[in-house]
Amino acid sequence: MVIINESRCVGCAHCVPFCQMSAITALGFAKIDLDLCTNCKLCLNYCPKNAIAEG
Amino acid sequence: MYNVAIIGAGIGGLLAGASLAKQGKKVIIIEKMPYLGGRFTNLPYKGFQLSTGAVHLIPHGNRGPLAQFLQRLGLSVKIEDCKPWCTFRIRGKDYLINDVSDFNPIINLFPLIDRLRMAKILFEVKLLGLPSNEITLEEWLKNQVKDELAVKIANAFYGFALSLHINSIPAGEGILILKRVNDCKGSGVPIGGCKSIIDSLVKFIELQGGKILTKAKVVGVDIDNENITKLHVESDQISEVSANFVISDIGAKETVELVGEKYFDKNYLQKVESISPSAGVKINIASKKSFFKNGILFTPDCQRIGGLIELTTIDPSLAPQGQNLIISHQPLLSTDIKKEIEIGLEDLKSLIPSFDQDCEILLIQSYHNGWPVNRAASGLDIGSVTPLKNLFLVGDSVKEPGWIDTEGVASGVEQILEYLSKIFY
Ligand SMILES: Cc1cc2nc3c(=O)[nH]c(=O)nc-3n(C[C@H](O)[C@H](O)[C@H](O)COP(=O)(O)OP(=O)(O)OC[C@H]3O[C@@H](n4cnc5c(N)ncnc54)[C@H](O)[C@@H]3O)c2cc1C
Ligand code: SF4
Ligand code: SF4
Repeated sequence: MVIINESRCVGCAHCVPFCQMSAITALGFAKIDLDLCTNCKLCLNYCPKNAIAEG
Repeated sequence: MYNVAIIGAGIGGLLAGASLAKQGKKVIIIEKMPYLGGRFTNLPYKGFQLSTGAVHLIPHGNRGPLAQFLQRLGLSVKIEDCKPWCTFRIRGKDYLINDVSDFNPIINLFPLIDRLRMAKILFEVKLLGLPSNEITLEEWLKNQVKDELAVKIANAFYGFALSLHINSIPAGEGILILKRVNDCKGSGVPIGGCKSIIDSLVKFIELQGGKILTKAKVVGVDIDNENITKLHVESDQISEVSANFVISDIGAKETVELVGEKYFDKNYLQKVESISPSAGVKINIASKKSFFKNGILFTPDCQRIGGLIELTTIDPSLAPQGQNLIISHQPLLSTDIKKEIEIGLEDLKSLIPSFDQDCEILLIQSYHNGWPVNRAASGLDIGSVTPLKNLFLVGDSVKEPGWIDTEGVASGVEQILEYLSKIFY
């Protein structure tokens, strides 16, 4: 499972386009819809703040 | 052994790398992300070319330090001028500014007494120089012009351009920025978006024999006698790099953290601590309808949004055919980001009454806390030279006075290259 570290996330939304499942939305902070997320972990590479981690 | 190792492939690192490679230096650029360009490259989404940061604007068009820098390298990046430069929407009416040196359409909105005062200010600035940096632009402006429209107009302009409220801009710096705008005569859009600039820099560096690594994070350094002797790198390709000189594009605070505080004197640490970044929110909107045809629209009547631009009026390739891309920008004025975004959306709905029917919000992007709009708010930049003998800074914490955003980054890189050329042999 991937989780967003809310104290690191700035809401820049870089991760959003890289999720093929459209599981991430960003409104000040990123949120992952776990029903859509396939746990591919691609988004981890695209966060400049290192705010997405494996939970 | 490299002549120069550059940490970070943002626009600052790439400009420095390209110039040094052109001089025949053996250069390596180390970037932690899978892509190059940092906060100044495209972010493709739903067929639109959004960006990792920038609004795809070259603040001073073909005449500013960034375009001049690229020209000196011999790179042919097409920058299209915003024509007209901008429009101010004041009390629902649009005032076009065709010529940057002619603000009369707006000045005429002020009572005679304020118009006389403005003429006096202009004269004084020309004759006596810039106002002091000891007072804020807001204090200075309120002392001069009484109509509160002046504060609103200034906040729209500086909110869009610098992502700052005028109560946090030093007066001298604020006026110098305006002077630069006036000298350079308007903004431009790089055709294809910011990435076109990044791509041409990357190609150039590689052609000159420079090496660029992605997915390679510098995680520490070795130091001997106030010199960095080795960079430790986390990557699949290499684990350490040695170079005569190290240039860091990751920000002053981040550089101190990476190297270790104990290697810097108290004075320098205090200076780094005093840098405050600028924070902001960018809203990317798609629409089949076109709403804003006249360059950058500054919006003094809005609560938060300083301005917006319909980029597809200049470069239609930034959106799928038949669609328009509008990007608004606002400074982040409180820590309640959701609230700030909500206010931004209210502003948009007041600017586009049919927003709900005609517009789709593509992406809302906020920038603060270590990934800001500018690492040093204007006027608060730190110099390139550090207490370590072979470590230098580039990027948006070392902009030259009066130059904003990537114009500031380019002018800062220019300065450090000049300095390095004197000590390089
Ligand atoms: C919303 C917004 C709108 C903007 N609009 C504009 C605009 O329209 N026009 C304009 O000119 N400017 C604009 N700016 C400002 C502009 O984007 C920045 O000034 C500029 O991109 C900063 O470049 P930089 O090289 O200093 O830093 P960055 O782009 O942040 O580059 C630093 C690089 O270092 C990398 N890095 C960090 N740590 C490490 C490490 N340990 N090891 C290896 N690599 C590392 C990062 O991944 C990054 O790629 C805007 C900014 C934002 C956020
Ligand atoms: S792990 Fe994959 S599917 Fe899940 S949010 Fe990240 S990119 Fe999307
Ligand atoms: S890329 Fe990282 S910081 Fe940006 S919104 Fe996604 S999780 Fe947050």
